[in-house]
Amino acid sequence: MTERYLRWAVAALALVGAGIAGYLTYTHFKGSPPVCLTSGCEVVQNSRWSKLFGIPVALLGLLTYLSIIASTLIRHPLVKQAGVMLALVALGFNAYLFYIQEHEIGRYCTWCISNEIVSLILAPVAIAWLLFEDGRDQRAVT
Amino acid sequence: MSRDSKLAPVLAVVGGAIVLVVALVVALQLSHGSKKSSDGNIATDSIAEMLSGIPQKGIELGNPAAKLTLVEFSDPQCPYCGEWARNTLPSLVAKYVRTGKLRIEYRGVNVIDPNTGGSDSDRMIRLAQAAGLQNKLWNVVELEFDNQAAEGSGYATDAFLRGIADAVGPGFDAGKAVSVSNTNAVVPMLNAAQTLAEKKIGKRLSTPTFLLGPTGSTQTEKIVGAQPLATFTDAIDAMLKK
Repeated sequence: MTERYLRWAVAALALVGAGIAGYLTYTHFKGSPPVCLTSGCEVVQNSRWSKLFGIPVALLGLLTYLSIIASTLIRHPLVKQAGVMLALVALGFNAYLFYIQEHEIGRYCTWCISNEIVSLILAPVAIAWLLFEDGRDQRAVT
Repeated sequence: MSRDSKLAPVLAVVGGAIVLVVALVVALQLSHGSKKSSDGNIATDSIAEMLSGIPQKGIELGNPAAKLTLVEFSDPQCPYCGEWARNTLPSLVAKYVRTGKLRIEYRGVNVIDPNTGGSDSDRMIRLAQAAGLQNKLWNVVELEFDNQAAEGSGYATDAFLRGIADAVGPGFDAGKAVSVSNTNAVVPMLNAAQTLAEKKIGKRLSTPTFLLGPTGSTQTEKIVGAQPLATFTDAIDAMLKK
């Protein structure tokens, strides 16, 4: 496995996350409930935890994943570190949102759970990506 | 590159991520939480925004012709009642009350004062009922929940109650509400809530307790405790389909 494959894996996972977050953002602004396997999506979407100072949490997720994708395209060690940090932030915040669904809302949103699984896989892959040395990164540092 | 120099960026990234996650969690709590009023004592929060444009009459919130009615029995000092008011009520108001499907009645019951020997609950319920005479009961009740302190600590002082009343804002005579709350004018309403609670739920009332049913009919469904949002939405959706 090389740094390049890990970078692609990070980008691919972030793309999946962006797709999910993008769909939830779209339904939020459209004002329609997302297509859902359970009744949980609409309940979660209408809960007070779906917004942060009026900004849909799904939109923040979308921007986070797009930033992670950008970090895989811009070949600079600091950008790489920022991308990995965002992947870990996504994991931590998604863990909190899972807790909210479990304890405060009492219902699971399948899209949110999918997103949480994506972030759970993405975080260790991103850490591995950070640990792998990139020749171009090294040249940039030295 | 040495092992230590490889780990340094990882540790920095993990540390930064932890800080950001904590900041986001705090921000999410604060985004619907409290903003101090101009006097710095009373949190005015987004209550005015939540209730804006929704009709209030006495103890009622929402369209009088709404299909369903939810009766809330709660004590202003009760922490679980406060949790429900802060976390669940805003979602119900946005989805059902604002759309005219549900009206909510507030029945303030004093279950904590008898256990603590204090008078905080009594004083706060009185103020709420007095505000109801100006059709601002819900503003006062939610402000009281938003500014809860330790049970039995004697926090419902004259200054606290005046601060709550002042925080209601335009269209509300705070001085009059505080003054009326200390008179017998509110006693019939206090007794009515207590009597209804004993009749519908029994003498062993735990707060919060809710009764849900068609407006103008007997509320048949009882929900005890600060249950998750979905418990309420499921019950309401099921009744709306009937």
